[in-house]
Amino acid sequence: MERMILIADDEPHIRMLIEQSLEDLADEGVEILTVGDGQTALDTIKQRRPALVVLDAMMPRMNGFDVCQSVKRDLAMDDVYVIILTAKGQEYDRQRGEEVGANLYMTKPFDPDELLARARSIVGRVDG
Amino acid sequence: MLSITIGLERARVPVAVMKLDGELDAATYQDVINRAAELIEQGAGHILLDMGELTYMGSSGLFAIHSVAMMLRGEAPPDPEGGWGAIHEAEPRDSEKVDELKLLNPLPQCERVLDRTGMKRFFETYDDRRAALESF
Amino acid sequence: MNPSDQQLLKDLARETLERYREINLLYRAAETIGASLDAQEVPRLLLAETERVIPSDRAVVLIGDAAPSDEWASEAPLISSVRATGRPDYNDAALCVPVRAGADVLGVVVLGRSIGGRANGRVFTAGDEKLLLGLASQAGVALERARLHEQETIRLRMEEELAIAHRIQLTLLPAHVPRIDGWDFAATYQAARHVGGDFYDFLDHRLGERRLGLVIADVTGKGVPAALMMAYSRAILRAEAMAGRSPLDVLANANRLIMQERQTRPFLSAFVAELDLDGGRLAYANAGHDAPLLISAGGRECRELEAPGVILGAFGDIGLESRDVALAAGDTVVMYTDGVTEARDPQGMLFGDERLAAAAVAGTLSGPADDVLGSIIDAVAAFTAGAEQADDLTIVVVRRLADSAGG
Repeated sequence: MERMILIADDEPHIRMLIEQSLEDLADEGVEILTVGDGQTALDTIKQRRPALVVLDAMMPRMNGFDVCQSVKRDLAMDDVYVIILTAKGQEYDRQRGEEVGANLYMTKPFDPDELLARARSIVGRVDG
Repeated sequence: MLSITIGLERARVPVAVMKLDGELDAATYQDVINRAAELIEQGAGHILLDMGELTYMGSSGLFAIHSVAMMLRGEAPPDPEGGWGAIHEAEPRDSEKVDELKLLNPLPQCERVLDRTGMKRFFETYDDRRAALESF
Repeated sequence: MNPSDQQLLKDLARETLERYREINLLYRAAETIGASLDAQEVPRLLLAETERVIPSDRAVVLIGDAAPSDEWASEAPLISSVRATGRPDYNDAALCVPVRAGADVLGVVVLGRSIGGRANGRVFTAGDEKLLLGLASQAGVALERARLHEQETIRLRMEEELAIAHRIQLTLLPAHVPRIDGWDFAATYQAARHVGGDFYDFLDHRLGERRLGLVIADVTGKGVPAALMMAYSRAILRAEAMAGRSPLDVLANANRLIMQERQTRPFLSAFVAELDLDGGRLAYANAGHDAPLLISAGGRECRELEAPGVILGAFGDIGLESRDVALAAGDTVVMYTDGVTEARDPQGMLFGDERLAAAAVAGTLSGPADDVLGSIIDAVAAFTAGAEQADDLTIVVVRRLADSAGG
C-alpha cells in the first residue's frame, strides 16, 4: 500500500477544495492524485493501492458506491480506507454506503478540519 | 407583598429594628426569617419588629416571629420545609416572656391574631418606639 | 494556467474551505448548544465550539452580571460597552459579543489575543465577529429555553406535591358526620390551591358512654410538609382524646409531646371539646384557635366560646384553661378555621368575624345544621366573588335538637 490519497470527483472545483484541505499532508510528502470519473478511480486503485480514497457518490462511468463495492467486496482490499463524499445525506444512501463497505460517509459541505484529521490518522499509519 | 427595612439603634444595648411593611403570610414569612438570620449572624442580639405598617399577619407570620425569637436564643434557623432543629436540651425559660424580640405598634388585626393565639403572653408589645428600645 | 491564476484558485479554495468550516461549526453548534437544556453546560459548550474555529489565546463566557477576572482588566471597557449596547465589538486585542435572547442581554463572550500567543498575531476580523455572534445567539436561545424548562419543572413538581398533600389530607378527614339521636351535625372542608393543614375530627372514645369528642385544628404551612404535620398532629390529638382525657389534658399532653421533638415540630392551633350527648354539656379547651361561635336557639344571641391558651408547638408553658357551657335545645355551635374569616374579596377586604356571625345566625333560623353550613359557605362564596381561595376553609356545625333526651 502506498502513502497516497486518491480523490475522485467529476467536478474540478470540488477536487480542488478537497485537495486544498489536505494541503498540509501534501507538504509532509503525501502524494495526492485526483481523477474525474469512477472507472479511472477503480483502475488507479487497483494499480497504486492508495491508503485513502475519497469518492464522490455521483460520478460518470461508475458512481462512488459501485467503485466502493468493487474495491471492498469484489477485490477485498480491506486496507484501502474509503470515504464516500456526497451531497446526498438520506438514510437510504447512508445504508447503501454501509452495504458497499465504505469506511466513512461524509456529507457536503464537508468539514475541512475533520477530513484532514481523518486523513492524517489514516495515512500516518503507512510508512512513506 | 412585604418589604423589610433594617435600622440599627442603640439604647442600653444595640437593637436591630426590622420594619415590616405589607403582609406577613405564607409567601413572605421566609424572607423575615432569612433577614433575621443574617442580622443574627452579624452579631445582633436584640430585634424590635416595627409592625406599624404590617396590615396582615397569618399563622406563618407567627411561625416567623417565633423562629426569629428562637434563633436569638441560640437555636438553629428553621428548615424552610417546616420545623427547626433544636440545639438546646431543654428550654427552661419557656414560661417567661421573650426578652430578645419585641413588637412595636401592631395594627388591630395583627394584635387580634397575637391575642387569639396566645402569643401576647410571650412577646411584649409597645406603642412607643423609644419605650420599646429602652426596654431591652 | 499561469502562476498568478493558480494562486488565485488556491486562495479561492482556501476562502471556500473557511466557509465550509464555519457552516459545519454552526450545524454542530445547533446540535450541541441548541439542544442543551442545561444552563450550566451552555457556556462551556459555547466556549468549546468557539475554540475550534476562532483562534484565540484566552476566552471567557460571562453570564448575567458576572464580573470579568483581573486578566481581562484592559478589556473591561469593551465588555461594559457590549453589555450596555447589546451590540458586538472588537479591537486588536479582544473580541466581545453579547449572548442574547431577544432584546435581553444574558451575558457576553470575550476572546483575547496576547502578543506571542498561539493565536499568532492574527487580529480579529468582522468575519470572526459574525461567526461568534452566530454561536452566541444559539447560546442565548438555549439559555432562555433552559430557564423556562427549569421553571416549568419546578412548577410541575410543586403541583405534584400539592396533589399528594391534598390526597393525604382527604384520607385523614372524617368520611361522614356522626348520626346521633338528638343531635345534628354538618361539616365541610374546602381545600385551597395552596394546601394548608386544616383538620377536624369526631371521636367516639368511650363505648357505652354517651360522649363525643370534637377537634378542629389548623397546622401552619402548606404542601406535603404541612400535610405530614397535620397527620402527626391528628394522631396525637386522637390518641389523647381516645384515652378519655379532658380537653385541657388532651392539648397539654399534645403540646408536651410536640415540644419534645428535636427536629421538626408542627405549629398549630387547636380547639378540643367533649360533648355530653345526654346532658348537653360541652367541655372545651383552646390552644390559640379561633373561638367557636355559640348561637342560641332562635338566633337571639351569638357569642364566642373563648378559652385562653397558646398555639401548640411554640412554647412549653401554654396557659390552658378549661371551660364549659350547657347547650340547650336548638343551640348551635360553629367551629371554623381562619380560612373563613380571612377569605378575601377581589379588593382585598377580609370576610371577618362579623360577616361570619351574621351568616351563621341567618343559617340557624332556617333549619338544620346543613343550612347553617350552607349559609356560611354561600356568604363566603358571594363575598370572595371568584377571587382565588388563599387558605383551607373548614367549618363544623353542631346543633342540639329540640327533642333530645333531657332537653
